[in-house]
Parts: sequence; C-alpha cells; structure tokens
Amino acid sequence: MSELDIQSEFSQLVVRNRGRLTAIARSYARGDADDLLQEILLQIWRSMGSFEKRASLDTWCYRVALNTAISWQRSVGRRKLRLPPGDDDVEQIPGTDDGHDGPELLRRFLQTLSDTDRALILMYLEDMSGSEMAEIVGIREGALRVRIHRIKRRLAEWKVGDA
Amino acid sequence: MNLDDFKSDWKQRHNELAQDRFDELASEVVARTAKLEAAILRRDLLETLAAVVVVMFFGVFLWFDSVPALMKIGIVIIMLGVIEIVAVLSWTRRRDDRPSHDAPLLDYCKAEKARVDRQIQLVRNVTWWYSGPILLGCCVMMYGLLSSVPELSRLIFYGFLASFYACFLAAGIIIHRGNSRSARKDFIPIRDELAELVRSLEDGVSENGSKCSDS
Repeated sequence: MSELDIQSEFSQLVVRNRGRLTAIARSYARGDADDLLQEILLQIWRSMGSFEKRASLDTWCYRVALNTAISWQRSVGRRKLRLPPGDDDVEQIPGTDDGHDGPELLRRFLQTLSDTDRALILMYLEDMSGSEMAEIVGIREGALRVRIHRIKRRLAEWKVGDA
Repeated sequence: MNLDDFKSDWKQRHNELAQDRFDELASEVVARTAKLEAAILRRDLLETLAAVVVVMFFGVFLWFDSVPALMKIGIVIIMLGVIEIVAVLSWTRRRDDRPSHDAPLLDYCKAEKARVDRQIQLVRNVTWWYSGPILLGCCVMMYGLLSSVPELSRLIFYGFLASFYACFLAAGIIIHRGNSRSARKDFIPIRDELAELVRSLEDGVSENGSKCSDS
C-alpha cells in the first residue's frame, strides 16, 4: 500500500470512529482529552502499517486507542488522575446548567471504575458484540458478560455523591 | 440508572464533541509523526557524537609514549565504558521498544509490565553498567598519572589519591541512591499498577467467571 493509500485509509478510519475515539479520550484523560486524542491518532497512524486484516479495521482501531489510553494515563496523566475527582474537572455541557445530564453522569460513574471495567463499559455503550469485546480485551466472552452485569448492578446502586 | 438507557445519548454526545477539534488533530498527525521521528534521530545522533568526542579526547593520550602504561589502561577502560554505554542504551531501546499497540489489552499490559520490569533493572544497576566503568577508569588513570611523578612525596601521593577516590566513591553513591529512588518512585508504582491491571484482566479469563462476580 502506498503512503497516499495509507493516508486516505487513515482519514476514513478516524472519521468513521471519531465518536468512539473521543469517548475513549474523554473517559481516560478528563481535562487533557485533546492531548490523549492526539496521542491516540498518532499511534493509530504509526500502527497502520502493521494491520494484518485478522480483525476488522474498526476493531483494530479501537484496540490501539484503548491500549494507548491506558498506557498514556500511566505516564502523562498519572499525577493528574491521582487527584480526587471534583466538580472542577467536569466540563460544562452546553444546554445544561449543572452538567448533570445522562452522559455526564455516566462519565462521572466511569471515573469510579478500574481501567479494565471502564474499557468494558465503553465498548458496551458502543454496542460492540461480545466477540469483538473479547478480541479487544483478550478475555473470554462469558467472563466479560459476568463483569458487565456486575458493573450494571453497581451503576444501579450508584449515586452522584459516590464519585 | 440503567446503562442501556444512555447508549444513544452517549454516542450522540461524543459524535457532537468530536466535531470540535477532531479534524484539526487528525490533520496534524502526519506532521507530528515526522517531528517525533526527527527528535528520536537527533537524540541518537547526539548520544553517539558525545561518545565519539569522549573517545577521541582520551584516545589522543594513547599515542604518546610518555604517558605511563597504567594511565593508558585507565584511559582504555574509560573509552570502553563510553562505548559500552552507547551500546547498552541502543540495544535496550531496540529490545524494549514499546509493545505493539494493536495487541489485545491483556497481552499489551503483560508486555508493558515486562518492559517496565526491565527498565527497573536497568535503573537499579546503573552504577555497574553506566557510571562504574568510567569511575574505575578515572581512578586507574589517576593512579597511573600520580605514580609517574617520582618527586611527589608519599604523603601528598596518598593524600591526593585518597581524596580523589573519596570524591569518586561519593559520586558513585549519590548516583546509585538517585537511581534507586527514581526506580522506587517512578517505575515501581507503574509496574504495580500494571500488575494489578493484568491480575484484574486475568480474573476474567477464569472458565466460569465466578471470580469476577465475587469480587
């Protein structure tokens, strides 16, 4: 594949997955979402040459993004993430006064989860199939279902003040 | 709250947010990659250049017959030490290149943990592979140099040598402590977090998932 083809495929891929990639960046980086998003795009671009067509390109892209996010917060974002979550790091959402709309509440809930559980919920919210999720994470589908069920139960009991 | 109620809102919200700076960030990627690769190349070149300068500077003394043999041995140790540092750094970078970003999360975390473990080893042993050979070379060189001055009184000879060695020993201890602290503060917490992440993922590998539901 020529450099131009790779560039064109990259553009199509990231545009198609822009919502998913933004969700990952915002869920793992909070205030520095743009920095993480740029790092994710950079890693996708640098990894494009190693795509072996064993998975779908979108699944592959999600895997790269997730690995980058988890690795990134361990280096750049580590200190910031150790700070307790507070109101100041909840970005105000246009059209809401208190930032307590559904997706924002969910984002707050995600901050209370471990890296792994957060990844599972992000994939669940994107309507990924069990096999896709298992492929991305590298664990069995059955175990994934059990974990998601457990997190759903936790969410049902969760209150905003618990964040 | 029910997770399924949020799915469409969640996707819509992030598609909206992606409109803001996404195109700009995506278009910067190629230029940023080139910059990153140039920076890596520059760093490697600078490291090699610094080593060449040191080797050439000390190497000049080897050509003079008047330079005592012991001093020459010290110089050779320093030169070999510098070459060894460049070789170790370069080999480590090649071997310890970050794990492939497109691996499944579990494999990625295991590879990343192994990489951090190797970094911890490298930092902990920095005294032996980095500063050690150079410090040893300097000490041998200084002994050779002072031995070649017969008119030096024994008191001055040993006094100067002892002070010189004490300074180098202190430098060695400071370097060793600094690196041990860096390993403890910077790398071990990352390794522990990765180990915890691997453990949490491997819990999910269990056949029936009972571990997951219990925890």
